[in-house]
Amino acid sequence: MKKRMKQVSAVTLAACLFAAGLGTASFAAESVPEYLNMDSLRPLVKDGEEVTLKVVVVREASATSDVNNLWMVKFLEEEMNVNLEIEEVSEENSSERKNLMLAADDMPDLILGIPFTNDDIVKYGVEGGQILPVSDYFSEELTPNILRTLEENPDAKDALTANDGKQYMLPFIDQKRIGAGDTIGSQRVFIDTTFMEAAGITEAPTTLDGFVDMLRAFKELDPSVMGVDEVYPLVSVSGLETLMFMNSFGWTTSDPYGASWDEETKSVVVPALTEKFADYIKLYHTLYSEGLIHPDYYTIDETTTRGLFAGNQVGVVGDWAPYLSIPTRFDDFIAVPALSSQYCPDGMVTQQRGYQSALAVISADTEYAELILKMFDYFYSEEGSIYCYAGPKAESDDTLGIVKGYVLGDNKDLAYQDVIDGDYSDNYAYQLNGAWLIQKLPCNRDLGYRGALKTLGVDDLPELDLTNPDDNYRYICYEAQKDHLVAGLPDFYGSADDVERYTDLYTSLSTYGANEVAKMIVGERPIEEADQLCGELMDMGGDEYLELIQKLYANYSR
Amino acid sequence: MKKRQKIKKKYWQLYLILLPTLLYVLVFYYGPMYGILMAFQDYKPKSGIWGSEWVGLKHFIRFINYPDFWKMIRNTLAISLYSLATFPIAIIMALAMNEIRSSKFKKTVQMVTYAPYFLSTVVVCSLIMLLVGREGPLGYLYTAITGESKNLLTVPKFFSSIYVWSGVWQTTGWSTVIYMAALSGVSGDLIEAATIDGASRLQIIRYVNIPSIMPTIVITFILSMGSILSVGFEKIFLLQNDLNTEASQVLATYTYAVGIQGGQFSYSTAIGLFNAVVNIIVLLICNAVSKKVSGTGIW
Repeated sequence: MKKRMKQVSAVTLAACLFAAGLGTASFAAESVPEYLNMDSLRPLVKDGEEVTLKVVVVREASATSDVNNLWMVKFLEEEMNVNLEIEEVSEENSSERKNLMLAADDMPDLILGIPFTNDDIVKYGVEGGQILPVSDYFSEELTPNILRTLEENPDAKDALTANDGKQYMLPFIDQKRIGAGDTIGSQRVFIDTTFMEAAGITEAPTTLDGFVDMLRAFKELDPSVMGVDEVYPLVSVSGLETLMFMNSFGWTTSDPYGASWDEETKSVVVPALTEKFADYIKLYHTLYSEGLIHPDYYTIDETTTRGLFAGNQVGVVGDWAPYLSIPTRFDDFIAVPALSSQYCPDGMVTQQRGYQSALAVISADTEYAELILKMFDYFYSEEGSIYCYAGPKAESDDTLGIVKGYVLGDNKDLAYQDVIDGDYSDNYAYQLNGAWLIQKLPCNRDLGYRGALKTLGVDDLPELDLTNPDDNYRYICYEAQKDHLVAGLPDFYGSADDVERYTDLYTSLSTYGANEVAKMIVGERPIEEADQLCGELMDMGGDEYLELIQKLYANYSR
Repeated sequence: MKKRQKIKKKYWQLYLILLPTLLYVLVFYYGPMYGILMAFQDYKPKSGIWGSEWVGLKHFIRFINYPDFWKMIRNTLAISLYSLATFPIAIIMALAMNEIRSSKFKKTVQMVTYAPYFLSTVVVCSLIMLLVGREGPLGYLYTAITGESKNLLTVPKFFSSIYVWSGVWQTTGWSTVIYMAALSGVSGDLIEAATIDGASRLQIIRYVNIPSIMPTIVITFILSMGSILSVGFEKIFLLQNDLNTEASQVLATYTYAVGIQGGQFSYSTAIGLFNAVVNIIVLLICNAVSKKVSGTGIW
């Protein structure tokens, strides 16, 4: 009898467990829409069914092709059964469009190509409920590749975790090779070696004082010797030289009124609210008064600046890469190394991150959350990452007859048949106007690049091709910066009240500060008063601002 | 009642013509007015206007306590009043153009003076930057006078002049239209009578033309006063740089920074409402003063 009872109990227990398991399985199955294909990587939507997603897309300003004819769009349509109803918005209108969409609560299913700041995520996601918390949909069934990617990139996961513990955006993982991602810094200042040669300088300076002396030597050069009417020692696009000088003072940011890591004091500071900021102003005053930077420093526009670069009139060029304005002489340039000073004896360069926020945001009101997450999960798979980076392989069915695809180039690196055949002028033009939907889809570019090479039988990453302008600039940056990389501060997630107060104080301090600094630099205000500026800013609420910054970074340590 | 019905029956076509305009004003001007509530709320798009939390005057207090509040008001008023001071130029131009006998020459002058109005703000600002740049004509003139080579846009004290006089160049021609229309209504008999009495052309302008168009002048002046705190955003934003913010930071650029860029809709609505209220008060005062002094007013 006892034995019988035990047998019955065991069977009953087993039956209960089995039923519970079935129940769980059926819950998981029911939580995924019927149209989703959960049995394989492709298609996303089962054959015989189709789903249309409303998407707002912002591409780079230089994109010229019809967005609806891009390979990625057709691929999603024909191979994944996902139609995209695309509204394309220009880059210059994207910020306004974003705010209007959010203000009117009239969002499409998906927004691609528009940057969302952490403040936006707090305001419209955490507190506003308009942006979908993607982490609510993470599961091994639906998003295995996303989970794996976040596990492999914990920094990215932490950076994208909002103050409610959820993620609202996904990372774009950059390439992990020399000259890309976190192997180089954010400094983009290059010295024209023809100027160095003319001035009798054989090595790039490694100190701030040495750099200024080099600029003086460039200033002394006879323009006719350089074949130009006038020589400008240092000119840059969009103030790109600022980061170089800020780094030499030990700050990781290019914004004197924003939060920065200070390598000298090993703390979070606001550069304009430190005593040494007076010396920073005096440095710029010296550069301006001696004619070492352009006299129209505050008003020169990018077109004029690039004209000076192209005219070979500038000794030190601040630009994203030399080849952008000087394509024929890109190999005449070297990157400025980390400049040491009394405030930063070892010299430092702010390290680029190995990841960024992907430019993809999902509406909380979408009916297709699971589909979009599954699509993003596909992009994080090896195949998806290859397709996001390089498009389809040449002669594969996935080219769809729209593009010719990637092949192995002569230098054992990826090349594109479309570029080889002259259909596109260069790789970037092919990617932008032929293959990509946007550059920064949620994907793993490193996996995509390595995966594409593997499909071509190449297991080892090729060396940088120094005859290629893009590879060249990456290499010279890597060589100049690799031993001096220091991580910058992550962006903070604040509460709505903190962000409001931060915006007020930042706007007020930065407007006043920038104006007074400009006056001192050009001599409208005595440079001797540079030491007073910190006190003036403190009196305007700088102390409250600093306290707020330090509160927002209270849990940050390194 | 009977009289009203009679009027309606007689003039129904005129009411019908008015109807689309009335509907347009109701839908696009009065309809959205409920949005003003955002200025008193902590507006969240998800909650909508009726669901957002009421915060009263919080945003107005925040605005008034903003450290640069008085600087922005000062700059806005300075530019605005300076613009207003150039008000007579369009009138003088209209009076002068009215005296041109050659119709060909008159049409040419009109075309040349109207044309800048149709240029976009961006193009106008690019032209200004070239003109006042270090190597522009005005930059050279400044160098010749002072011996200093400077981009005039980097000098705060020149900012309002650059802004206002470029605006005069751009809009004067267009502004003459309304005065030309008013001048075309001046009775020919009056002018003839004045001529017979021995009045010179200048005297005709002074004693006949100007009084005839005075009501138009007063009304356009009152309307201009009604936008005393509204200085155009685009042009100032494009001409602004770090060296001239002392003179160029105005309410519009601040609203753009916090409202559009910062996404603080309630706060920027409060600033806009503050703007509108001040403008209305000034408008009412000017109208009252004008009615008392000249008997002419908008209402």
